[in-house]
Amino acid sequence: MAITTTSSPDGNELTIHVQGRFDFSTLQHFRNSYEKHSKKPAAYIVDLKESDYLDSSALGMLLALRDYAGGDTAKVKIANCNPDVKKILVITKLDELFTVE
Amino acid sequence: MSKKQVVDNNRESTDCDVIDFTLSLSLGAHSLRFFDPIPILMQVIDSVPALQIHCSRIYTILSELFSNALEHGLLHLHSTDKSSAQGFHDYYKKRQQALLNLKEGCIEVHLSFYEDTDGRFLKICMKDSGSGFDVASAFNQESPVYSGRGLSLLRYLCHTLSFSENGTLCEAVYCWHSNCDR
Repeated sequence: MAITTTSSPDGNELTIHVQGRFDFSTLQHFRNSYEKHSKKPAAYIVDLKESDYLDSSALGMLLALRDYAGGDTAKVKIANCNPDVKKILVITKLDELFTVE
Repeated sequence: MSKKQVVDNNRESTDCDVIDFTLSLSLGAHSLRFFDPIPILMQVIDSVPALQIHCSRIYTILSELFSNALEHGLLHLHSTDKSSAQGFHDYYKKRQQALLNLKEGCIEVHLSFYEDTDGRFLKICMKDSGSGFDVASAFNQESPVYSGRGLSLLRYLCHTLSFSENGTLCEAVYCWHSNCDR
């Protein structure tokens, strides 16, 4: 399990890459990955390309990020979801709160 | 491809569909403090070729069932505390603290497989030694923002889901091969 980040050159977009299990075991790392930046980016991408395992604690972590990024005005995209993960986001109606790709 | 190879491949694919093991794991308080059983269980599930494409869904089921048993059954945490982002983070701090202080309790997991006319199934039984919970009210609970998704996920992913023994025993059945698809 690992959480890494990359920023766009202008610093306006932060991509958080999740590797392996995405659940509360990565909670602190995930939270640090977006709170450590002194300048808040305008948009966030959570890249789940290398994460096939997700549970409801991860959904809470995504919501906490959305809250931090501005709540209803937040720009948070969940990218590279496998079909099972995408289905979970739909079932729990999180697809209505995030851009899901 | 020769005819012999085709026959052999067919036999191999039939063999892959036979799952004839059961797995039981019993974790006492000491083990629960230091040991997360989910990676071990997933390693076993992932080693069964027929189940590999189901791993993502089976992981979610196992993880939700185990979290329920541990967090609500043994650690007496309340999901309603997760009503805000701060509450959500505090909940997991409390979880960590409560787990370190856990002195007694036990969680048992049992995995088994069966087949009937409808298809092939994985049955997961998760039993905790806690005092139980009000199953009906948990199912009817309006979802607060940061919680309440675990049960809906379980209901969606499982063929059947039942709680008994005052909510301390959960039986989840996952259909990994439905005969209705044919």
